[in-house]
Amino acid sequence: MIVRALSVVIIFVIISESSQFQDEFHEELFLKPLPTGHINSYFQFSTEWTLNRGDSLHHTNLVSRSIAEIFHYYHVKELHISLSNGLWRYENWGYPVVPGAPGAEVWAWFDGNLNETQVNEEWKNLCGTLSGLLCASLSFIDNSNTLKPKFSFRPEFADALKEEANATIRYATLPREIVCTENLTPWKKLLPCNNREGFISLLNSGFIHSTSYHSLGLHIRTLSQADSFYKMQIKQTVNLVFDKKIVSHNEDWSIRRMFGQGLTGGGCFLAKTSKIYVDVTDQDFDFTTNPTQLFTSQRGGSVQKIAEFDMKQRHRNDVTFNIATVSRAKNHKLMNMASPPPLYAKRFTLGVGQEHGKIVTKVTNTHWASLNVVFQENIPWFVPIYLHSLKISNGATTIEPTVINYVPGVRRERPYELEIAFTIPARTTVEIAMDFDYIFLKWLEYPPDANHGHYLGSAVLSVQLPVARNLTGVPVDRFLFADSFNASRPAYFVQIRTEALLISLPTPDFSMPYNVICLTCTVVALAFGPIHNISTKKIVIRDKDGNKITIIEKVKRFFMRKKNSTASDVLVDTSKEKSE
Amino acid sequence: MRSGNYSTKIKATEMGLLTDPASSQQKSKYAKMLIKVNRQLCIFLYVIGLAWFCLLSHKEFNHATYFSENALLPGLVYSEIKTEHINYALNVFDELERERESHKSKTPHAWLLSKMRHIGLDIYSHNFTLNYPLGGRETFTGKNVFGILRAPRIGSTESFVITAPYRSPDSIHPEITYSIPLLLAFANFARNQKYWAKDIIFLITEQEQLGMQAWLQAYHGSESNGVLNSGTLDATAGSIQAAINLEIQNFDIDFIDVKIEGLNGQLPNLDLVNLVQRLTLKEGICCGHRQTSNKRRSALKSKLEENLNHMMSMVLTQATGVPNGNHGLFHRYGIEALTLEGHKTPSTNYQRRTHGAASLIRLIEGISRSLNNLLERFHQSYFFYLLVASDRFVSIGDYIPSVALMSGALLIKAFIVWLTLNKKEDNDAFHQPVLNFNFIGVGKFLIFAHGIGFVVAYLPFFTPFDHGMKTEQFIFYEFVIVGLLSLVIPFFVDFSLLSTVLIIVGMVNFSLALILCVFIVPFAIFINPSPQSFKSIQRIVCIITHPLLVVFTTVLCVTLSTFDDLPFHLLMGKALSATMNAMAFSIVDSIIFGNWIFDLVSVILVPVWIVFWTSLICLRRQSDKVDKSEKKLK
Repeated sequence: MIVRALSVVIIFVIISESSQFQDEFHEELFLKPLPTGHINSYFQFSTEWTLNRGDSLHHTNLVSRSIAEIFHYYHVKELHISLSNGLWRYENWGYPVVPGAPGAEVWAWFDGNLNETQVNEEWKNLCGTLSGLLCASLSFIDNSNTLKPKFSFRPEFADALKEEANATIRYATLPREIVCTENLTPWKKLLPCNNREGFISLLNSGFIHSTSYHSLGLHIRTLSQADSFYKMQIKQTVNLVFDKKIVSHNEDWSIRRMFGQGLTGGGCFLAKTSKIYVDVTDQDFDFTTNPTQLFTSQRGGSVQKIAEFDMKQRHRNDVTFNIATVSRAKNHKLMNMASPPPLYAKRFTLGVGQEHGKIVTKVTNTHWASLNVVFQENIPWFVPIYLHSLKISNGATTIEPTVINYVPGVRRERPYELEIAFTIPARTTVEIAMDFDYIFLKWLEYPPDANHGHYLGSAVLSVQLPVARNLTGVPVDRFLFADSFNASRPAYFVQIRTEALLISLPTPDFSMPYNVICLTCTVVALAFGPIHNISTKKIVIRDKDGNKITIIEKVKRFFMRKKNSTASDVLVDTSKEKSE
Repeated sequence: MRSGNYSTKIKATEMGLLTDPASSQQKSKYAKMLIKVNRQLCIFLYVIGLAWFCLLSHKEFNHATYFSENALLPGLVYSEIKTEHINYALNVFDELERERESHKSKTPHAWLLSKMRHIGLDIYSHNFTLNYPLGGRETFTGKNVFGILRAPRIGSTESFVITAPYRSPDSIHPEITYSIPLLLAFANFARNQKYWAKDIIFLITEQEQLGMQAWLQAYHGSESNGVLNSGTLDATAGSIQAAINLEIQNFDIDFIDVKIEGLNGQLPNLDLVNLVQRLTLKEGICCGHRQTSNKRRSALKSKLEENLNHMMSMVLTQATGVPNGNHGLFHRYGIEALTLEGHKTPSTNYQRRTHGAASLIRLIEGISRSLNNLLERFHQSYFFYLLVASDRFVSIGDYIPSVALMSGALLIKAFIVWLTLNKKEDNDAFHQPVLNFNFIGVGKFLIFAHGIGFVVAYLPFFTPFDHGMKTEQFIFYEFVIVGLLSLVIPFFVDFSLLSTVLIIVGMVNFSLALILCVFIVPFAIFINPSPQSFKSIQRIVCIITHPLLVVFTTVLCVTLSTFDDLPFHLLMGKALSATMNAMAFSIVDSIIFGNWIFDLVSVILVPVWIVFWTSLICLRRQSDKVDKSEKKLK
């Protein structure tokens, strides 16, 4: 009785507390079986916080205070971080809900009132803070690996279009970054619910790190609604691709098999909605638990069938909630043919030896009409490229780029910035090729395990797609994942991340300095002996006959010298001379 | 004080390091001495070099192999191969046998692709065309198939290759069909594992080395010269770290021969070789470099003799510069690769095949997991070595002196020739170099000689091909004509060039350099540009050592040893046609694969021979002229 009263009081307190704060939290999970026998599971934890103009960012309710502080201190308007491991296979899997380049990727827009140096300063501080916040090596981001793309990225914050927004964007990737548990744990702490409640309880590092692709994301933007108040929207995403062959060894899959445990009913206590969506378009399986509702989503010419499971409708005592599928056809060996998305890209290097190489990106358009794309290269300073060798070709025909934005790199200071806008004809593959040189670095610039090679971050391909085939992304003007259903738009902005590249620059043998030291010491020692000898000894010429001294004479002299040290001798002992 | 200074100077000249180079008195003394003993010295160096090489086979002069790369961690994990994977291999083999019955001369591409697809690999095929560069301009086409296992722990930045050549039933080479079931069984096993940190490319090639070369060319985008049109690949998997080529003759194997010699004598990293040795040992498979069946092995008497034999066989294989398996083509692209050639037991036992297949799949698993562990690409251990036995080796630092000594003899010889040219007969004239020595004439001649070399190198490309003769014959006659021409054409000897070339070759392909040294150096020492009595003998020797004749003699020897019961004229005919073939092959090799033995012979050895020849023929005339002009000056 007392407990119940107490809980009522607590709930009341919480409600009254949260009434001060106009914020809400939603958790969503989207499961989509992919044609290659993989299962994509996408978590989106969304927090929306409406603030008055004068409200302090230091007092937070559902939003993590550390995130709010970032916005308070660094004049950030919009911030995106992704920490990914593995590669999203566009050709087979379609487009992900949120893109993530291999390794770490950060980009942010700053307040338009800042000047260039201030933005650089804020950017460096921001990355340093994020590095501590997420336990990633984002502190290695500086001007030498930061890009300022002009066309590829579109701001999503409000009043972005009023200003010259892209003057304040900064973009950087760290392709070598390895994402693991130590990034997941601090990432989870940014969420309002604790580890054992709601969907977050599914994120056990042991299970999510054995996936074919996993990507942690943090996407924050600010929106002005009226003059008096504005909004802060925080999306925390986890995108995972499970391999059915590894998870279950057969066609059936379930939440318990993928994540190692089921869910408790009710979802997170603080969440306003807590829903699981499963894409059942053309799927050949039954659920063991009936979905709350089945609906169809029509978007840009493609139809999706979605099964929705509302966790809020389940009782909290239902501790063993599990979504499991049973394949209808037993022993069916048919494979689904993956229908490739309208646009995808592959990137690789060519060349033999360590003198010249070529970076090639193949962009394939499977759509029936031509597409306008913006291609952003990501070339670090240690890979000098030749712009004159840039060739965009489709077989024998060369394609003229519409716009080229090129800022040549400066060694150790600035990467090569290259953005190319061009049109890909319908149903063709276009090859973007560029020559580069392999160069020697200073010996301290080689990373540990130098013979592993150097990474080139992934390139970004941006396009406005007229169709929503294979598309799952949330529209720019919306927030929740649920908003992507039936969200037809005139065009869909999609960004594709290509593979990161690994090139092995000429690497010195790092035992060489040791060898050099040894050799130098030997030479110095050898030269030192004779020089010392010459410079300290006084050499006197004696005539030839005087040289021949018999042993008896020597003995005689020895005794003579003992008796009389002033005896006139031809040879003068140097040591004696010194002491005198 | 003054006298003290002077004495310091004298003293300093006696101390080795600070020798004053201006004392020409001494120099001429040494030069005289050198000229006096030059032949003995050269022969001495040559013999020492040869002895050095032979000594390397003694266990005091070579080392046991060891692992440099700790990341390989060979055999650290328990094998996870289960009966189902072995049965898969056996079943796939039976299926493949049925496929082979319906595809007598073709590769069952569709079947291979469907198998790979079923396993869950990303499948691709790769077409290539060969426009035969010499006569006929025939075109051959081929198709490789490959599947990529995308590793879950990496974004396709690194990979390694497991490859098997496919031989159709009517191929003349030994049957190695068993490689493909093994490869597929391992792919099937590997697809279900989550620890892969490197993509695995499973590649099945056809047309022997041609298919492999085409695939590698396509992967690395080498500029094609219009001969091998390799096209492009639909998918890549980052930088390839290593490759294992399988040539398995049966599940029930007697022993595995590890083949390492690659194109132009390149070798894979010794760590990779050690890895294979260690893992086969763990699986209890008899394995080694140049492994032969156990019985024949024990027949060899002494360890030393065995080692020397082993080393010589490796040197001979390496010297040809022709890869002895598909692995050899990887080396040029900086990929460490070797071939596992599993020889079947003379009487294969059907019962033992399950056990055999199990140990072979476990071997592939072990190698792959070790390669998977690699953090950096192979860079430790040795890239230049000679294997003395399967587990003993000689490193470059130990074997290069033998070649250096032998070619050092040549350098000394060149120096002596230079000295004698300058000095003339009387010793006093040494201080004033002879000014009227015709440098321009010699330069012209050298350019001319090397010009002939280049002509020889490029002749095959510029000849019209619509003549009736067979290509091989045509090429052969061309070379004979060029050879004869160079005989007719009537100075300063190219010893130093030869010596430099030998050392450079030695750095890259030691064996080739060694072989060249052993044969060329005695001859070069023997040639003496100053007129002597037994000049005719020298001329005969010189003709014998013409590259063309040497090739013919070698081929003749090989033919003799192969067909020893043929009558003489038939034998000669056979040897002649074999020579023609060999030359045509070497040209084709040079065009398609980038083998540079043909270029070496034509650009360097032929001109050097021409120079030797000329120096023998017209030395007298030349020196007479020089003497006359000298008298005029005086």
